[in-house]
Amino acid sequence: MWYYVDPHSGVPIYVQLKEQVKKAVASGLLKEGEQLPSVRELALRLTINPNTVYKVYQELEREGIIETARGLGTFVALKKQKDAALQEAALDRALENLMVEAYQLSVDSKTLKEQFLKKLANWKERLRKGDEDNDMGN
Amino acid sequence: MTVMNKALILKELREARWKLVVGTGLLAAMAIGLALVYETIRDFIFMVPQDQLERYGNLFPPNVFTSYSVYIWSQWNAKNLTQIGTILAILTGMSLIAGEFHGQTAGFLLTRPVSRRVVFFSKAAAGAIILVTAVTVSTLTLILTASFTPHSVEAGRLLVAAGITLLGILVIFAVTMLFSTLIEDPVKAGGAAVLVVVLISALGLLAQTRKLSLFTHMNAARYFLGGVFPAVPVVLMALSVIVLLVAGCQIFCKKEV
Amino acid sequence: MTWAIELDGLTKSFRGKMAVENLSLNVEAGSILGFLGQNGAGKTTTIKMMLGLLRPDSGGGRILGKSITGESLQVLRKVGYVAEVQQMYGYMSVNEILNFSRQFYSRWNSALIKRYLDFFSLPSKEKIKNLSKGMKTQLALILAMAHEPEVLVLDEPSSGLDPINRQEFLRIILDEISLQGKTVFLSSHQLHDVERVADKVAFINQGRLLDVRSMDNLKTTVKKIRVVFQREPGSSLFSQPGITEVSREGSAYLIAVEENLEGILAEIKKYPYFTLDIIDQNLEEIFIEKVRGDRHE
Repeated sequence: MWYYVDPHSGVPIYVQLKEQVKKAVASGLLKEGEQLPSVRELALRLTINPNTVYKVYQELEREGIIETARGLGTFVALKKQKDAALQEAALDRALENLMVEAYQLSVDSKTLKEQFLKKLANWKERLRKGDEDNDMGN
Repeated sequence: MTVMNKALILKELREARWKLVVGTGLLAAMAIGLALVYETIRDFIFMVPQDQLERYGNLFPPNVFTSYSVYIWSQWNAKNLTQIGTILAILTGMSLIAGEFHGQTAGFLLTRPVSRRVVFFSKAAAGAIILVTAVTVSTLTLILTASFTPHSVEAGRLLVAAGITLLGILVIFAVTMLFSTLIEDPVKAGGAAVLVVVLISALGLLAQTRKLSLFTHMNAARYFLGGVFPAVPVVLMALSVIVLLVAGCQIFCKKEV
Repeated sequence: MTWAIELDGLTKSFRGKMAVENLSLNVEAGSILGFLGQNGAGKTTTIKMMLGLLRPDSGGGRILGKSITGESLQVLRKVGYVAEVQQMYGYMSVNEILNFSRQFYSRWNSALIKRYLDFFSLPSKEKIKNLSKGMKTQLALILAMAHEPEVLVLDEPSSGLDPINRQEFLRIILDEISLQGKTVFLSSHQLHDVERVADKVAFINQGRLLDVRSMDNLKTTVKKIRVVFQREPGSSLFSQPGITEVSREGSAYLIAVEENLEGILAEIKKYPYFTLDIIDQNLEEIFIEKVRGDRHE
C-alpha cells in the first residue's frame, strides 16, 4: 500500500497517518492479518520521525485495529478481536461529529436518516464488490 | 595530566612543513657559505685601506679575524642564526593560533574533545620542534663544513653558544604566539611581533639599556669571547618562554569562537 | 522522563547587544527538537554556548548530565556537531580529516563511515578544498556521527544541499540517530525540514524563547476560527484564554487561537452563528504569526 503524508499541512502527521491506516483497513485495502511496515521502514520511507509512526501504531493497537506480535511485526487485527467498548466509543465520536455537522447545516432528522441509510447501502454494495474483485468472500 | 597530543603536533608540523624545510635549508646554506669563505673575506679585508675599513667596522669588528672560531661565531651566532632565527620564529609563531581563527577552522578544532591547554601546548611544541630542528641541523652543518677546511673550530663551544641563541629565538617565538592568540589575524600578529623585536633591538643600541636587550644576550658573546656561562640571562630567557607561553595558554583557554 | 539537554537561563550579549536572553529549554532523550528562529535570532549563539565555544554571561546547562560550562570535554565526547558553515582543513583529504578526528575519540564506527562515504560517493582521497559545498556538508555529517554520539547538534545543516540531498540527509539522521534512541537538536530556518521530523519545536526570536511545544500539539491547537455570528456576541467571548488575535470584517470574525481550542469552540457555539470554520495552520504560518506577534509586543 502507498502511504502518504503531507508534513506541511496543518493536520498533525500522526493524525494523517492514523486516518490513512484506518481508511485502508475499513476499505479492505489492508486486509485482516496483513503485515504493516515496521516503524523504521515507514519512518524512513516517509522521512518522518519514528516516534510519530510509533505513536500511530500504539494508538491503532489500543483501538484494536492492528496488533503487534513481538518479534514478528505489526498486523491488521482480526475483526472479532476488536474491543467492543472501544469500538462503541469510536463510533459514538464519529456519530457525534455527524450530528454537529448536520445541526450546523440545519438538516432535519428525516433527511439525515434517509441519507444515512442510503450511504450505508452504498457502502455495503462497495464492500461486496470489492470482495468479489479480490476473491476474498468470507 | 596530558599537555600535548601527537595528532595535533603532527598536524601543525604538516601545516608548517615549508617553514621547516625552507628555514632549515636557508640556514644550512648560509652555514656552508660562511664556513668556506673565511679566507676570501679575510684577504679582502686586509687589502682594503684602513680608512675604508672603518666603514665596515660594524660588519667586521677588528678582532673577528684573530681566529677561525671567532669568525664563525661572529658570523653565525651574532649574525645569521640570530637574524634568520628571529624571522623564522615570527613566521612560525604568528599563524599557530591566529591561523585557526582567520581560516575559521577553530570551530572544528575546538569541538573535538581535547582540552584547550593540550591544543595550545601541542601547537607550541610543534613550533619549538621546527626551531630546534632548524638551529641544530644548520649548526651541525656549519661544524661539519668547517671540519673540511684547514682551520679548526671549537665545535662544543659553538654548540653551547647555538643553544643560547636558540633560547633567545624561543623567547621571540613565545612572544609571537602570545600575539597570535590575542590577534585573530596571522599577518597582524606577525607585525606586532616584529614591532616588539624592533623595540628590543632599539634597547641594544643605547649603552644604558644594552643589558636589557634580548639580542645582547642571545648572541652568546659573553660565553664565547669571555668564557663565562651566562647563567642569569639563560635562566631569565627560559623563564620568559615559560611565562609567555603560560600567559598565551590562559588567554587561549578563555577565548570565544 | 530523562532530559538529554537541559538549558537553564542562558544569557549572552556581545558588546552590550543581547544575543540570547535567559533561555531555558529541556530536550527529552530520544527526541528531535526543532529550534526555529530567523537569522540572527540567537540560534547559533545558543548552540555555541552548549558546545563550550562561547561562555554564557549567566546561566548554564547540562548535556547528558554534564555541565556545558565546566565539563565541556565530557560533553564534546558524547555530542556530534554540524555547524552552519563548517570550515575544515582544506589541505587535508577526506580520509586524512577522518583520521585526524579519530584520534580524539575512544569510539569510532568505521563501518558507518565507509557506508556513508560510499552512499554520498565522496572521493576519500580528494582534498577538502576541492569538494563542493554540498559534499562538505555531507562530510561534516559523517564526521559528526563517526563517534556514535548520544546527541547530534545541527546548526542549519542543510544549507548548500538541494531538496533531494536534504531529504537524504534527514533520512540518515532518522536512521542513525533517532532510530537508535539518540537525541537530535536541529536548529534551522528551513521550516519544511523541521516540520517533517521534529517531536517538539522551540521558537526563538531576538534572543528570547517564545514557545516550546510538541508539533502535534501545535497543529492540533494552533488554529484560526472563522465564524459568522447571527447576532453580535458578547465581548467577553474574546477574552477567553488562548485567543491571541481577533479581527473583524462585518459580522465575520477571524479568531487566532494558540491554546484551549476546545474551550474556545464551546464558548463560541453558545452564540448562534451562520458558519464556523476551523482553519488549520501549518508550521510556517504558525512561525510567522509567532514572530509577528512578538514584534508587536
